[in-house]
Amino acid sequence: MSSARITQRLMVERSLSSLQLGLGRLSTAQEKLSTGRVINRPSDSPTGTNDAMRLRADLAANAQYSRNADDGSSWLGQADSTMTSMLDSVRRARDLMVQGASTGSAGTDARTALAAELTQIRSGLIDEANTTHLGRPLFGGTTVGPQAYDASGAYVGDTNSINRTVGKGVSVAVNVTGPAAFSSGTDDLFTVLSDAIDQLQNNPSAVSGTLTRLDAVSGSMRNALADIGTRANRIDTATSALASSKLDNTKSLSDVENVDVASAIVDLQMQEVAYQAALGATSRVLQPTLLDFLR
Amino acid sequence: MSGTFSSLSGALSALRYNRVAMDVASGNVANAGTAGYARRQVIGQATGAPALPAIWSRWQGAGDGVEPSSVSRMVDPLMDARSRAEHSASSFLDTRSASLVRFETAIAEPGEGGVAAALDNFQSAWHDVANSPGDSAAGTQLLARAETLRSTIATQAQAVSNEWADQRTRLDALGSDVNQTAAQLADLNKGLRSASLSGTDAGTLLDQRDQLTLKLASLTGAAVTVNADTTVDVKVGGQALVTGNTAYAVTVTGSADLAGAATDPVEFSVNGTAVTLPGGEVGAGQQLLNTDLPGYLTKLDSFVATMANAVNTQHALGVDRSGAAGGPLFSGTTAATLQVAITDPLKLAAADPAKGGLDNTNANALANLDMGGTAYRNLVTGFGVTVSSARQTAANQSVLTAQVDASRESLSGINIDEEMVNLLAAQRGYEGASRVLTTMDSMLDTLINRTGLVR
Repeated sequence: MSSARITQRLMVERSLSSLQLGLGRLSTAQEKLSTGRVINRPSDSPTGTNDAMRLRADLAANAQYSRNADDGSSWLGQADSTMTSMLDSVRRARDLMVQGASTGSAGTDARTALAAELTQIRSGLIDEANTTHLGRPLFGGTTVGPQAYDASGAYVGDTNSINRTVGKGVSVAVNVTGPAAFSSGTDDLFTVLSDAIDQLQNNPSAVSGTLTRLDAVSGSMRNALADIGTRANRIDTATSALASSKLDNTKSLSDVENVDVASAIVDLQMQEVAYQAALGATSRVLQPTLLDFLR
Repeated sequence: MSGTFSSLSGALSALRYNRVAMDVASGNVANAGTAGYARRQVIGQATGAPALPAIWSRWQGAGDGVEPSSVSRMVDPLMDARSRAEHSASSFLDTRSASLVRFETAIAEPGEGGVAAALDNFQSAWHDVANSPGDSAAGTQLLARAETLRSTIATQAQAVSNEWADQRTRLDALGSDVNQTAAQLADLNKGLRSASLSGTDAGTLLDQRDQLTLKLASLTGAAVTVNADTTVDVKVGGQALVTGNTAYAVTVTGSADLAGAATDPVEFSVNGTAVTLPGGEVGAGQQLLNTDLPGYLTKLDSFVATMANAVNTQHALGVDRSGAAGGPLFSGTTAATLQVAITDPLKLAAADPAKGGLDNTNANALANLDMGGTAYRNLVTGFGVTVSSARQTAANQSVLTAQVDASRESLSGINIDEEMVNLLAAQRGYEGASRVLTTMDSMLDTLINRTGLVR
């Protein structure tokens, strides 16, 4: 059969094509190793590309969720420390009121002094209730204005919550509004305190009744503080979940996209050996013809 | 009963025959590297009795010598046809895969520079706006990322258009190449016909004929019919391209850019009739121009329209810091025409209209909106599958083509060793015939000069 007939040109062409093939494989192995990636274009592995793109999107979303969580934590942390310090002041105000109620007969001067101190505490509390975070009043909801309470102690914010997305479909409110923290209407912290100031000066016998209202307000403040703690906890949990998911996703992405260096180096070596063998064979095979032996 | 001098003429015929054999061998060696040259082989034939002796006579000759009956071209028409088919498929697949691979690098996926990453960044910027609504720094960042998203999409659309324009220019060049080749073949047909009539050896013309038909098959996937007088007729897409010594003109018409292709489609016509070719470089060009590249752009456009619509719809549901409803963030619904319509970062509608102020409900909704990232991922993955299968089939086909070429070469190629052996055999044959002459000479010398002499 004619297929058994081999010609010089056939060998040249075969040599060329196998050299080309070897060089192509060498270049693929080299590309993988030098970019460190097995997927350098979608066609390298369409399914791998799909996974890689999904994982990259997840990683980007995760990074953003972590930043949202950090931002939320700072809101809640600030609210927590402000409310803790305000509770101290409220406790001091309660001491003064108890003193005023028990020393009801001790004379006007003493009560006036108590009322003066209470007035200081109240305006201090209003200042604290107006604490700002990143230029926004901490207890003012989503108000555009710079304050949550005006100088007289009236609430000027709104009751909207501020939410941070800390995971896919997980949204956490990171603020406490004034009314939620300090009660509203006549039981509002600042109304209760101004009533107490008034009563200390004019109607000492009513102070004990106001004391009960103050206890109710401080109870609601402690509840709000506990609520802040719970939400901070939720964010912490979400953050640690995000961190572990980031680790998982990064690992998966690396599995999909990155090259296994050891096997890539072995592959490169193998292709190099194959290429050198092809070169060697070519150089030896293309040399001799019968002409070399005819004299 | 042979004549006294018939052995001399037998030896002379052997001398002639071996000269021809040496000529053929040296011609083969000389053309060992010539493209399209098919090996020649001299066929010897013993001179013998005529098939039809003269009436009332009988042939008494014996050992009457040799003559070269023909010099045959070692080709197999079946293999030639097969080779044309495989080369047509091979050039189709190679051209398509080369173009797709080139375009694929412009997608820049998966990676940091692609549309997917820009879309992720854009959504992430909405989270930042949600974290600080009404903050112009966050708003400016969002607008910058919207612009980045727009430009990466536009870059991709531009890459499709560029590749399309390249292929379009290429199709023009292919058209004139086909015309030139067809004209050459028509001329050759004229030569072949007269050579066939006069019985001249047309080996060189046949070599050229096979090369030209192979080239036409690679270009267009042409169907070739070999006629009895060794001329060829060529049909492309069912239309006659070359008939006898007439070549029909091929024209390429239609839009020069992708934008105009919908209204002014690109057509490849043979003798005025538009044809769609299943093979060859022209076929690959048609496939790329009419299906592959516009198909990608259509899907990209559909993703862009979905994305812009989703963002604009959600954005319109919110209000900005001043309480005004959100205007369209994007204008344009195709990859090439997409624009960012908002330039003032304070016009971003982050708030719920019922809440207003520094509410971030709408920004959160946008941050968590499905902007069609899945559709884009499917587009890229689908294209990856197309490219990878195009590459794979092209590689398989090139192996197949190489095998067919190898069997053709195995039949028609020159083996120098073999030619040397043929040359040596002819040389020895020549020497042998000379020896016969010497023998005859000395025999006749004895007969003529010595017979009857008495010393």
